[in-house]
Order: sequence, then structure tokens, then C-alpha cells
Amino acid sequence: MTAFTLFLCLFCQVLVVAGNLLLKHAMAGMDGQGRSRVHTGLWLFAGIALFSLWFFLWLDLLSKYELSQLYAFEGLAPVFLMASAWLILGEKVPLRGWIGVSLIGAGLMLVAGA
Amino acid sequence: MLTSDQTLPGLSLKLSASTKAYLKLGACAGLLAAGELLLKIGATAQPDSPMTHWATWIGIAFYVLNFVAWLEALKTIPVGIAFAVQSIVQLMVPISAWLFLHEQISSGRALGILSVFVGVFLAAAPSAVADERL
Repeated sequence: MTAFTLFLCLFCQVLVVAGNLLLKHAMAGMDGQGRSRVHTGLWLFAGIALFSLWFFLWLDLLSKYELSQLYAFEGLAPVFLMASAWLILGEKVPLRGWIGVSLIGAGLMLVAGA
Repeated sequence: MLTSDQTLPGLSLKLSASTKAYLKLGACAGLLAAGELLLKIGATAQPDSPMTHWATWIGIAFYVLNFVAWLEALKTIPVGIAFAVQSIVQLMVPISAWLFLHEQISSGRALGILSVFVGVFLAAAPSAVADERL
């Protein structure tokens, strides 16, 4: 895998995690939890936009690389979720989380090289 | 007699509700793995225009169904448990790629995939907490 492909794989997972969070907030707005319609609409639109971008990037990667190699990068989703909670909300990552992150990181290095 | 009559139907109803939720979660895993496989088939068959291939569209439909089933399952199952169950997809996808697409998986890649799977499984609970707060 080239460095650029690796970057694209990482970027794809950033898009998935961000898209999921946006859609989640948009749907919370639809349930009538006190958010304005404009806000809800913006989140929904942004979420769908990120997922569309992800979809075409992912299809392009799938046309060039093996699925068994690419799919491992989906394992980054929990890593990015914990990193976001840590960066944005100052949430601490428990030991269990750090062990998970280490295993995912080590595994992806193996997968990227093989 | 009356108490057991009142408790039993309630209990069996609760059990079947959670069983249903786990069936939905299982459906999610299957739909996600099959969806990935179909997208891969579409993208490989038509690298320049994957949207013209039927497999891509069925893959998209599976993704949407997976999303609906996931939201349904989460009404009953805590996110942390759902994430842990869902981590099995990390193994299902490469195994089906090997079985159905005849991809060669080297021992290094297999070890990496296994390590990612265990990592995702362990990180399920803390990442679910992160997901709920964000």
C-alpha cells in the first residue's frame, strides 16, 4: 500500500465516523428534542454529503485493492470515536480502550504491509 | 397461581423482544458483510463506472437495510453490547472475501486482521461511551 492509499483509508473512516455522528444528531432533532429545523436539516445534509463522499472514495479503493485488506481499516472507527471524545469533550480513554487502540494499530500496520 | 399466570406471559414477552433485537443485530452483521462483498464485486467488474453494475446497487440497498435494522436493534440493546457483537464483521468480511472472491490472505494479513478484531472487541465498551457522549 502506498502512503497516499493509506491516507485515503484513514480519511474514509474519518468520513464514516463524522457522518454517523451528524446523522445521529439530525435524527435526535427529528424526534423533537428541541433543536431548530434549520439545524436538523443542516446536520442531515452534512451527514449525507460526508457519506456520499465516503461511498465514492470507498468504491475507488475497492476497485484497486483487495477487500480483505481494505476492510481491516474499518477497525479505525472506534479509535476515531474515542479520539474525538477525548479531543472535543476531554473524556478519558480507559485502559481497555488503550489496549484496543494498540491492537488495532499494530494489526493495521501488518495488514497495510501484507 | 394468579401471580405465575401474570408473570409468565410478561417474562416470555420480554425474552422474545430481546431475542428479536439480537436477530436484528445478526441481520445487521450479515447485511453489512454481504453489502461489502457486493460493492467489491461491482467495483471490480466496472472499475470506471461501478454505478452501472447491479451488484453496487444491491450493496447500497443492503447498507440502507443494515442502517434501519441497526437503529431498531439499538432500541433494545445497549450500544456497547451492539458494538461488541458487531466486531465479528471484522472477521466475516475477510473470510467471505477468501471464500467467495478467492482472495489470497497471507499469514501476516491474517494476523493483522485478527489483531484488529480483538482490538475492536475490547474497544467496544469505551467507544460506545464516546459515541453516546458525542
